[in-house]
Amino acid sequence: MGNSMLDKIKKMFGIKDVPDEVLPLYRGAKSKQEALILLKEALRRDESRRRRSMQDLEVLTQMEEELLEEGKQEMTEGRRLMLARRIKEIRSKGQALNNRIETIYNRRIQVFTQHIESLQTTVELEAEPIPEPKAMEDMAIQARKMVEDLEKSAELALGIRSNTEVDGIDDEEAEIMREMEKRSEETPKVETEPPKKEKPPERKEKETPKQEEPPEKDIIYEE
Amino acid sequence: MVTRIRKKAEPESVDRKTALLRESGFLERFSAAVGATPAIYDPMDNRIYDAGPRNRVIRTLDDRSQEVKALIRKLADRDLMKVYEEMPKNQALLYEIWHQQMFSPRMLQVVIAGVALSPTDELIRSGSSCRRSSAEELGRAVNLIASRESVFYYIGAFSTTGWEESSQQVLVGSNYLVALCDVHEGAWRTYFAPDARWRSAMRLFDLATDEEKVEAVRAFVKRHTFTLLMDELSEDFVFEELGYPIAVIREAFEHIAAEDRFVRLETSEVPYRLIRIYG
Repeated sequence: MGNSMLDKIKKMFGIKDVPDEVLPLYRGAKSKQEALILLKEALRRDESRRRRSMQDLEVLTQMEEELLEEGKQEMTEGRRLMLARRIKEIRSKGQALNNRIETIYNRRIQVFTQHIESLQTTVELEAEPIPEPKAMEDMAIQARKMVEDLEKSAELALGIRSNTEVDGIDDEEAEIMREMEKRSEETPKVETEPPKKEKPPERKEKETPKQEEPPEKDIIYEE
Repeated sequence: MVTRIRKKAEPESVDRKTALLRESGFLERFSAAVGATPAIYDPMDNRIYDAGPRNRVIRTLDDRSQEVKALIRKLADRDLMKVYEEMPKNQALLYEIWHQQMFSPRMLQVVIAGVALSPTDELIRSGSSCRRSSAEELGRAVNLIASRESVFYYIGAFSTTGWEESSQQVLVGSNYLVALCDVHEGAWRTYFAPDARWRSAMRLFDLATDEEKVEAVRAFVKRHTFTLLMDELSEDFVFEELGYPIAVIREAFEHIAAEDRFVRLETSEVPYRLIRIYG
């Protein structure tokens, strides 16, 4: 029963293997809803463990701080050494706790959250009632209409764009740009980078109508 | 090997109001304990006497309260009545157990006394104090109470601010035994000097019920998370701090472990200890 649920999940998510963290949960579930509940419960437990660990970590850090302060004031070498050893123990505890948070809880919480989200979406979609054939037909018509409208809008937008492209830069604009170039040449250059050579606008070339070469005389004579 | 460093407990500052409350709480609990005692053992003649109301006479020592009044007059510059009302009175309550032998007059056999002490001068001057009561102060109170050589005295001495460690050296005399009582981290506790003469009289100064003790241990554990994290929260540690019987501490530990899923009772070796688990 559990394995069939696991197979369903693999198929549904399109994955070959399920992470170890969620494997027993899927195995223990009889349905998607049950799996979702188990996942949420596991997430809640791990969040609570992480919270507890963080609080404990705070206690350890605070005590370490206090002992460090105490060590600063402590005069005898023996007592200082004791304090240092104690701080070492505290740090080792803190390190272990930190590792636990990072490698166990954070990782598991991430996996649980991802699976809950995916499973929840699937369960919600399945719970949606299938619409009547008539309603589906209406929706299809509406959708087609919307697509047509969208196509029209797209055409219109293309038209506008091509217009602006054809227009290019007019004489006045070209003049202003030349002016700007001139100004920038006049102003003392602060930048150390060498100025980039600007290509002359292609459109300008387009704009100046090419003079058609006269037909070669030789050919006329040939005619 | 674990480095054992125990931070020195900061003396708790107690104000007049708290001191007064503690004093009256002590006398109330002490009186209730005496009232519930049917008989008392007299080590002087190795006999047990009926301690019922017929054989009991209650007395208070006024001298100590008068001392407080005199100190207020001397140290306080205004609102004398108000200060007096707020102050603990260093009361001493004596339950005398009289007994009549055949063909002889009624004689005083045993005295069960409860005496409260406070750092009166500091409480008058600054309104609060963290000074613990000393062996000298205790000695003066004991001398005042245990005045007859032929009578045996069980004395419960309560300090509203706790006791200096040296006080534990002066708890045993030829005709008296003293129990040191105080409130530590909100819990009533009593220190008894080891002495065979106590017998059941220990119960007279055991100020907290078992339920209260379990609650006190629970609160204690809550306040000592660091000790728990370092795997040092053992029965012995709690015993040293609160002085409660190991059986009571163990019961409290079991309750805590059953209720808190982040705590486990480690019973693989004695003393049992509570340790942190994360599941």
